[in-house]
Amino acid sequence: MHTYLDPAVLSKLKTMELRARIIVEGALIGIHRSPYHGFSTEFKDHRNYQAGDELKRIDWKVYARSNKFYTKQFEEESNLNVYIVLDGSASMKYTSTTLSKFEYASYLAASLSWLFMKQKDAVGLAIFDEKLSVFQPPATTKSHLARLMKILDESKPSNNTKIVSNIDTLLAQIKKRSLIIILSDLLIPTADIVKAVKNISARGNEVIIFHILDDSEYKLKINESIILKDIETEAEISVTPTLKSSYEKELNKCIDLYKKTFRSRNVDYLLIRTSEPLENALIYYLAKHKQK
Amino acid sequence: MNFLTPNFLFWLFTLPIPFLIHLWHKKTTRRVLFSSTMFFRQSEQGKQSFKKPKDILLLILRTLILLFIILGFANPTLNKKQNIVLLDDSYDMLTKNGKSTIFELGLKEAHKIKGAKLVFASGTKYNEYPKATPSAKFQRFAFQSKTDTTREYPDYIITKLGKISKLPNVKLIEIDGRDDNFSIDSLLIENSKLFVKITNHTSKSAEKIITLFTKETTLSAKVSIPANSNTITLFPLSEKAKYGSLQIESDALDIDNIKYFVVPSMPPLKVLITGDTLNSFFIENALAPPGGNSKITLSINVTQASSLKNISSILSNNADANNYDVIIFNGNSIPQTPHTIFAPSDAPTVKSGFLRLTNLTEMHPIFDDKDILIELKQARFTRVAQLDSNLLRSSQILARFSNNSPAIVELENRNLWLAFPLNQFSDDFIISPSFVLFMQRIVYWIAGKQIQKHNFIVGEKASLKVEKSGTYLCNCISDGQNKDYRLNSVIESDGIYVSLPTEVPGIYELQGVGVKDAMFFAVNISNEFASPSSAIDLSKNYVLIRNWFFWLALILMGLEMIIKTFPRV
Repeated sequence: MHTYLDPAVLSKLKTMELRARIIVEGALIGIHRSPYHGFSTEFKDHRNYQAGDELKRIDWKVYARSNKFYTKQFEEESNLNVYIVLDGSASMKYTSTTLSKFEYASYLAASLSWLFMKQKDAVGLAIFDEKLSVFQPPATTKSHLARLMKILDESKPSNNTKIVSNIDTLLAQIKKRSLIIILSDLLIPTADIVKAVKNISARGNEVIIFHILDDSEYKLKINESIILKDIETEAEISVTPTLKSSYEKELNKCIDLYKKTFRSRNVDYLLIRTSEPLENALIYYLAKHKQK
Repeated sequence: MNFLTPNFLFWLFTLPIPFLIHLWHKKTTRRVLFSSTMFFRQSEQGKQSFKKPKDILLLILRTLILLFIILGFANPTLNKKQNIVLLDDSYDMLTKNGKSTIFELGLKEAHKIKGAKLVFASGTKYNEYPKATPSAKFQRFAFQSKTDTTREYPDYIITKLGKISKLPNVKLIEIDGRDDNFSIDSLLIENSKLFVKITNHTSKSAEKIITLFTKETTLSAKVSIPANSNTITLFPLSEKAKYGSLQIESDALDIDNIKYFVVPSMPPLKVLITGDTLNSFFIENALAPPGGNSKITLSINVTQASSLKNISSILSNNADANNYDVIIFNGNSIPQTPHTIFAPSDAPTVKSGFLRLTNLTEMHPIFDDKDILIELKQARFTRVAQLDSNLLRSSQILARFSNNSPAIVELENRNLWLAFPLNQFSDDFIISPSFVLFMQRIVYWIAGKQIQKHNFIVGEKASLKVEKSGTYLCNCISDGQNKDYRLNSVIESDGIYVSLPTEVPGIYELQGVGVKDAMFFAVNISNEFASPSSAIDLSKNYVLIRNWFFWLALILMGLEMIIKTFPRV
């Protein structure tokens, strides 16, 4: 399965929709659960408890009143608004293999979109770099999904990253409490990330952050003295192999800070390397929501 | 700064190598696109703003390390601050002043001067031994040294009082001990009266006692001499007087202060001649400064070539008329009795005296300007024996022996010499360590440490024994016959000195170039490698600072390592 869902293999598939469907299906096989029920937040009615029903679905208040077990049934077609926010800055095009971080994030975004659409949730898409270059308000139609897929397919990363102002712009467009999924390499000042997330949470939105890094970013592969050129700023820096440990130390320090900060704000954070199977992110997401 | 091995400086061409490596490295470094350099900038090691200055600093350090190592191998030296001290070693520097000679006083003064490089006026170098030089030569040397590029211009001149006028930029150290500012300029004998013209060369008038010595009587007169002027005084002479001398009152022996005269009617004088029957003769007499112990012996070898016919006159003076011993033989009346001895030992009470030979074709070095030393410098030394370590002694003693020339044993500091002549039989003269030890004992005896008589064996063929104080006989066995030869009394001055081109203890044979048929043996029985000049070792007139450079290089290597490891430093 992993071979089949290898990101590099997926990139060879023709359409983004196809990729998304395969990823999602793969993820679903992986967790052996249907995601299509029960994730909505809208209550529908009760039904009698049957053996095999999950205990957490028992409505204990009804049991207190009637001394009978009833389980809650939820509306399958929810109105959950999901905003997938994709980092489209130049640093996202970096890759040490064949699949760039942006492509990986695009596939993930497409898969999530496809998944949410299957759940009848409205999915919107925002791509930002220095400005908010793409914004598609949430919708549930098939044509909307096709449009999202087309946008993801055609987008190219460029420019520098400015997250705070773009998130503010995005939040100004959001009228309803939403789920906001950020896909980014987070190669921007930590304070900006924290501020942006804080702004999102402050409006009652739920936030999931997928921190996408290339393998060579996570573990530096430098065996000689080289000059590194920053894709965004074009600044050059002379680097020797002796700097590997200090780089990784700084990176892990940053990751630890994110984990700590986001945990305290009840924000889901997942570090993903582009070498990992794409469905891992979906499984993570589904598992998280299953807990809730 | 000088270099002992400047050839290593050739490697300075490697200095640009660090620069070239730097440039090459810079040119060939790969440029790679990377998503972000923010973590490098945040990391401590990635303070890349320091990169360029750090590179330049490392480059400078590495170049300096290379430079210091190369300079270190080139053996850099710093010249010591060295004062050239010109010491008058002319004969009259042996004038006594108290217990020391003024030459010794001069040596002491020289040693007080920091970084003194001693140059003797006789022209010998600092690592050679002083040689008696006529005072005129010293004068010439001192005044000419400034223009003589082959010699170093002195910073100090140590000389007798009033001997030399002060040179510009030269500190003159005057050793007191004599008064040569008065001279007897002329004598005239008429009607048994001796007229003496005495000159005062000083700027002060003075009173001097002039003494007349003859065999018959001694007369003294106090004479007032005006400054920079002369006066004439008169002495009566006995009718019997045939010769005599006049001396100006002086604390020192000074040839210039003594005038010898012969009364015209005086018959030919005779001098005792000792020596072998056929080829050589020895004329010996005591020569000592007035008032001192008789420790100076003048030994003159008159060869056949220097026929006695050439001796026109021998003048002598003795304070003790009863011990007047100078006899002259006519050329055809050479005594056939060998080993007739005339020596201070025969006249132990002699307090002063002088012997002058004129018209000799071979003069004793005391009177001769001929620089034998220079000729001997070409001599070739061969070590013929290694001394047994048991025989080594702490004092540094050098013994030299030659046919018909003084053999010398020397204590360090060159204060005491022992000289004796060996004759032609010394060609098969074998020196044994025991002989050297004997010589050492003699030196100790001279130094007053002990008075002993010694019998010793010189090899298998010769022996030397102490007969009495001040006189030694060398008994050599040659062709089955025992022959005694005089070992002259101690001599405190003069002698032929050579420098040994080796420092290894042992006995060395010298095949001399300078002296015909000479055979020298030099013995160093010190317990360590020592050169004869080690008493005043000024050969190293520099400070080797090689290690300074190596240490600097090492420190810079450490610094370079620290900078590489800890960029914040």
